[in-house]
Amino acid sequence: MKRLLCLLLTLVMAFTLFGCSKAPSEPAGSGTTASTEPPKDTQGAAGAEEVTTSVIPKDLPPKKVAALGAFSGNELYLQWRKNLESLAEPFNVEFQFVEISGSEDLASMVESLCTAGVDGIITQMASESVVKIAAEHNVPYMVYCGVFSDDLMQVLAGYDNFCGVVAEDDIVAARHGAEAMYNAGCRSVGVVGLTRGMSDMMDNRADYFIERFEELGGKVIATDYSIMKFADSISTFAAAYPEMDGIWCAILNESIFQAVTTEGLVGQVKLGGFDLSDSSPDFYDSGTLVFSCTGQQATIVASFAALYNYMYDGTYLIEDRSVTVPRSFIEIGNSDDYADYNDYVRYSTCYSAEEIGRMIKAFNPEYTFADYLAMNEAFSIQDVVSRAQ
Amino acid sequence: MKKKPILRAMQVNKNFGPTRALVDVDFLLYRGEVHGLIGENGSGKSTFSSIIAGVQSADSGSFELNGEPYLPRNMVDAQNRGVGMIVQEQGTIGSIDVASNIFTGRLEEFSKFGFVNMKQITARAQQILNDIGAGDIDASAPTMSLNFEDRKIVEMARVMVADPDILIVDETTTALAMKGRKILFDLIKRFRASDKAVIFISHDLGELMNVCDRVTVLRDGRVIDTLSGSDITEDSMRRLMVGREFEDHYFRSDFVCSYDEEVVLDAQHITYGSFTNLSLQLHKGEILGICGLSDCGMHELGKVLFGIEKSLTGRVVLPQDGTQVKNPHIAVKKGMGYLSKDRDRESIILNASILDNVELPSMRLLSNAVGYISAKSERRLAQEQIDVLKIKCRGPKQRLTELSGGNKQKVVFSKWLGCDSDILILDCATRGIDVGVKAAIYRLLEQIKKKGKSVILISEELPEMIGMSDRMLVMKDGKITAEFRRSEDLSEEDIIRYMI
Amino acid sequence: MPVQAKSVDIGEVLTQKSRRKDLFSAVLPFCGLLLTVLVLSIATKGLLLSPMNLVNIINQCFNTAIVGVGAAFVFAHGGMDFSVGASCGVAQLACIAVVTQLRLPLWVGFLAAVMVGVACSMVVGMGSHALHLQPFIVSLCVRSACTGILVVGCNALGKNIRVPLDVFGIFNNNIVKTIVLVALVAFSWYLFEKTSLGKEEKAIGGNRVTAVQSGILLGRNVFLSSLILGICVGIAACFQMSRSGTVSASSGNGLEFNIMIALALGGFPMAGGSAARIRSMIIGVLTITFLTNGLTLVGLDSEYVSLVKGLLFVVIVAVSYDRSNLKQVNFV
Repeated sequence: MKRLLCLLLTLVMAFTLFGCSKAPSEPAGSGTTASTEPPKDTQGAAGAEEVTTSVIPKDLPPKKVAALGAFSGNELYLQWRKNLESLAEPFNVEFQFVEISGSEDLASMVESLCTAGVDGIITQMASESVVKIAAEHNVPYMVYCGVFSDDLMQVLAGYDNFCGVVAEDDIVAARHGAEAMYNAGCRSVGVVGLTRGMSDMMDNRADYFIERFEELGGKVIATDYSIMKFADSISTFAAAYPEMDGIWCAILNESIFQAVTTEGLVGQVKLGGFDLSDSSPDFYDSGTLVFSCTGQQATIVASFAALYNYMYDGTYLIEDRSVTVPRSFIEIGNSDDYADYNDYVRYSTCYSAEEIGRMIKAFNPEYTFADYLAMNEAFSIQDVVSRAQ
Repeated sequence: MKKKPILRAMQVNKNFGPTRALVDVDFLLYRGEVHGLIGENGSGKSTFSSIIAGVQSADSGSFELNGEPYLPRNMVDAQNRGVGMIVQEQGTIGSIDVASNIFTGRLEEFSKFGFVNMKQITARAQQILNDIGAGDIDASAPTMSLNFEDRKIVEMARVMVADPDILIVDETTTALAMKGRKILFDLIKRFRASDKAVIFISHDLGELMNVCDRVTVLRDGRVIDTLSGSDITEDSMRRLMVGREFEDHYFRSDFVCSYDEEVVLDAQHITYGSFTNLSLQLHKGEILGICGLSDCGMHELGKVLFGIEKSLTGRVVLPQDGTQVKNPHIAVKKGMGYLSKDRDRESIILNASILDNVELPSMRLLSNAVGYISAKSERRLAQEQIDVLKIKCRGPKQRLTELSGGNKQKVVFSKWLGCDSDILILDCATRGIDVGVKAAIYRLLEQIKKKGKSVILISEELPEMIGMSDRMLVMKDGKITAEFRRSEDLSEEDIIRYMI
Repeated sequence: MPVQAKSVDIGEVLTQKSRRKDLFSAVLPFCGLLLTVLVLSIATKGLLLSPMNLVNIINQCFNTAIVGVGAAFVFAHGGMDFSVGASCGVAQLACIAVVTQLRLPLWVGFLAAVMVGVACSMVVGMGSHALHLQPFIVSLCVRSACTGILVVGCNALGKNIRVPLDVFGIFNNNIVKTIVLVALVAFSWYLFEKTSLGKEEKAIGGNRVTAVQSGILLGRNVFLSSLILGICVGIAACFQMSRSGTVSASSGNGLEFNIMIALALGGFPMAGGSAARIRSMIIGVLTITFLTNGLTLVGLDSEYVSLVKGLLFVVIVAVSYDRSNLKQVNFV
């Protein structure tokens, strides 16, 4: 009896699922309009002046693009999603967001997506065999926020469907962070990061900070790379090194702010690192947080430009696909910057559809790879604010 | 003579999943009577008595106690209303003293402001022990220091604390020797004399005949008949329990001690657990009985002989080829078989089919060079055994959980018969099994013996020892205290002298 | 007389009930799989069962299926190996190191992967057997150690180690994969269901004491099952690295969870015993593969995928999981 009931439940579930399969296209569509509305408003001036001369042609052919990433439902994922979906209507693209957990998973997902008939893939990971799977289905493959060896980049560039890599430059940002911390008066800092070897990005965030900070004459007194045990690391530092006046974090998440508060380090140490979290504004106000990097949400949009170029007519926007296109972070040093970030990035979109449209060579033949490089490098909070105003 | 009913059960039903344990049971218990409850295993007698004692509840039907509706919520509730049960296996807590064991769960009656008055408890406990005729047990002694039987007596005393009107005795006698039995039977007599009542459950038909005023026979969860007075005979009870007539002999019909001179199992100077430096020899075609009280070391002896436990000194050897029995793997390979006292936990896989169980020791024989076992050959093996041993089942694929105790025991036998074992070590082979299966097992042992195979029979049941074995070793405190040869004149008393 | 007649009826009712129950337990996992396939092929308008996607399915179930059938032997005797993901990663590292660093032929790399797999499963199996430890605990230790080796090794060889496809092409060939998959599953099925090895493993899982007292050697069976699992892990490692094209610190990650989910979905008894079937494992693996693949084909966004998957798991497990090992039937 119980089993029959379960069977019945399964049927109900099945129909729900069947309903769901239709549903996403509608909610996704409605979500698109919902999230495109505000940016249109904020860029009303720009939109109004170019309403007659929009570079994006009407009646573009419908396309389907899958965005893959290790999302796990965090803030950054929502930001990625919002930025990408603001392009859905103007470019007539339907986006599908797919969670991946590892390289084996990636191969399976790419395979399934290609079979399902997507026209393009944007993802954070790449390997030769996966790009090859996409190549067999003639599906363009674009990478955002990923770091790969030169060796692999050479191999990947050998595949026609590979459109290139756009990734933030953690090295530059880490160096800037070191300078900011030093200028804020830090001389003895502790560094916390993710387990070594898991990701080049994360390792760079710690390594190049340390290199630059010591270059400047500061001292790194302690390091701790135990995965996601930031709070523990900080309490250990506080107990062992009373002279510590700064903490650099590869990921500045909420637990770090909590630990700093509970250990009574507010006012005694300065904080710097990557990413923003709920307590960031308070810590900027109190002067404890002196530097943090963000802005990865725009990278996915920048990489979409490169993908769409190839998808539309086979043009490579990135001329040398064996080299990663570096992108700047948004570096936030004080509460004013943070307020701008909130207004123009967090609750808006970093690039308008119009701006992306101008990066498509078919629509705007004058656009060059050099322009694209400059655009990526120029990215900063000032850049976003000035473009929006 | 006008009898007053004390307990009445009407249309009681109880199901366990698809099994109907009790079907429309009507039962009447009078004051001043000892009422026997018998039936084969799975007939529902234990279920019925445990419902009366509040251990579990009936699915439907009603009870009346002294004319009032009776529906015990649990054992304590039943005790408070005057129904106490001495169960087959309950056990006492070894680490606390006798008095605390007797008053388990009732200590608050002796406590004031959270302090327990141990003096008062000990005095009350001693009084109860004296009362039932076990004054030699010291109520303040740690329970650990008592032997197996005295611990059982402590359990009896525990039931007497609540001064019950109805005493339920569930197969307690299997665990008791002379002293315990006497106390129990005195207690039963006292209940009868004081116009209270006893429900007595036992497999021992002779005992039932002596004690009971009336006997109700259950079969497959139904009341078959209630016998009283001179109608209570062993024959009539057996017939009603099994539902068919019995052959005239129950144990072996001959009284000749017979076996070959050839030694098939030779244990020299073995030591393990409670026994030291023990030697014995088993001959071809011999049924060797080993008896004693449960803690005399005979159960460990069986395990050492089969290689399950390692002897600290000496060795167990199969003289034919000089193999030393070091582990069960060697033992099985050399044609030995072992039936554990704890059948469900050690001798069968409950959740597997008859087939899976029967082929356990035979896989080596069934498989070819690459280990392949054909479905046909394993099925044939299982079906053969089911036919030979008349295992009641739907087929070789039936799970053992669905079989009764007796049939499970038959499956264990079929395991070892299936691989044609030459030496069987049987530890309490007939424990907790009804007369029908018991008789079948005795016939089987006779056949095994006739085929020239050898059996070591470890048992606490003396009639079975005397009835079946060619030679008998009596053990006490880890030593062999006597050896008897098969003879018609041998009596239980002769053996008991060496056991206690 | 009426009593007699009635009791015969009851016997028949019991027989029928019991038969129905057996049939239910045997058929229900199939139903879960069929239902999954049916619903998803409707939702994807038949794309799920298109020839192209069936090739995808073979590719996607390959690793879980191969390691799964190996793990079935270990689970059958009541063992457990939670380290297969990590040891698969180390096996990949060993293989790539042998082939690209030492420049030895591919078959040596393959052997190295198998040896690493066997070594890890042996430590778990024989270690827990010899030291009388819970296999789960030992496998957690091995898992931790393997993760460490993998991170250190990958760091030493350049973090994301590229797998040269020209060398490893054979492991990416769909025909080779299909043959290996079918052959391994068939061979495991034969060992598991038709030989004394599988039967003894199941007997140990059913009741360890009884098995020992029936002359079954524990150590031998633990050894053989660990060996089989280790070989399977090694084989899977070679195919997995060729498929993902890279060996990194996250290689093999999550494989053990997939195995556990497959066990549950296929109705494979977690404690082992006579109800264990290779079939259950395969059904479980296929169910999870079709589910993951199908939901992606449908075009569901990731947040819905997790939700739907989770709900479906509960339902499928509730329908198909064999609970008979959990409750002791009370017979009077």
